[in-house]
Amino acid sequence: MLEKKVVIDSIEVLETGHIQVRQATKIIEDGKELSKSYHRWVVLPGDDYSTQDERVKKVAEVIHTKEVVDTYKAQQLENK
Amino acid sequence: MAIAQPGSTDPLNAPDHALLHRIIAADPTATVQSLTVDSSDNVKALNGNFVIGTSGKGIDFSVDGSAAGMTSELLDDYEEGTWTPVVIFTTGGDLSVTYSYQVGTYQKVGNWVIASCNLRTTGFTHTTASGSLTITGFPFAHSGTSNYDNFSAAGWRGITKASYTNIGAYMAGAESQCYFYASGSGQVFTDVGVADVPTGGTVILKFTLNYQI
Repeated sequence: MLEKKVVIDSIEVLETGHIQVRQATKIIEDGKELSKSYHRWVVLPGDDYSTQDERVKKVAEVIHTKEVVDTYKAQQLENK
Repeated sequence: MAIAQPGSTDPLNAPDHALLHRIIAADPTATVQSLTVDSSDNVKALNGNFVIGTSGKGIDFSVDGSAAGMTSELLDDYEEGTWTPVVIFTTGGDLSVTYSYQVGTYQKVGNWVIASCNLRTTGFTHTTASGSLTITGFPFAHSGTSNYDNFSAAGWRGITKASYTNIGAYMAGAESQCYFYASGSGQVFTDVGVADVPTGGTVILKFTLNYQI
């Protein structure tokens, strides 16, 4: 029996407060993984994370403090 | 020399047994060879992959000579996948975008990311948006190194900027989004802004950006 499984298999927090998220899509047949593909995105400090996966939301709630967001915004301005 | 003999219940029956004491066959009753070392000392995985078992470990090339400025000779990661490029302005306002396609693919090799973006809009309207044309959704954040932007040439449609002839995508330190710089003979480098991407047009953006993470 073929089964498609979509899971968030990696949530990585960088020093800058960026949260790198990886979603894995697995095709499984009778318990054996036939294929796996990845889709990625980054949740930036200050981003709206309300539509993210529950675990990502919880991480963002802790990590994206005002200080982290302000530091990132300042870095963005400096880059310009 | 076969490390794991077909059908053997002792996977360590090769001549130099002592050197192989850490090799343990997952299935000692397997009837096919899994790993061989040929007469040129090349190691081959006949049926499976070489799987790195510890994060941060990989293939160490330090036996080769090093160039000045070398910081690492360990290839410790490879990954490929997709990402979703999204068009915004620094301040989105009432920007509304629909796409006929928005395709992003990436490869990560060591600490470098190769990210390709290919998108075309079917609807693109704005009246209150402001700031720079921006693509978000990249798969990894750029390293936080200051004064270290990464650029690439871009193909585009839907951007009008008099006296400028080239537009390139760039990502700056600690970003995971890119902006677009316009350049032209005798012109000052400048961002592509909201006034350069008229409402109601069709926007096409195609580029491959390499950046360090």
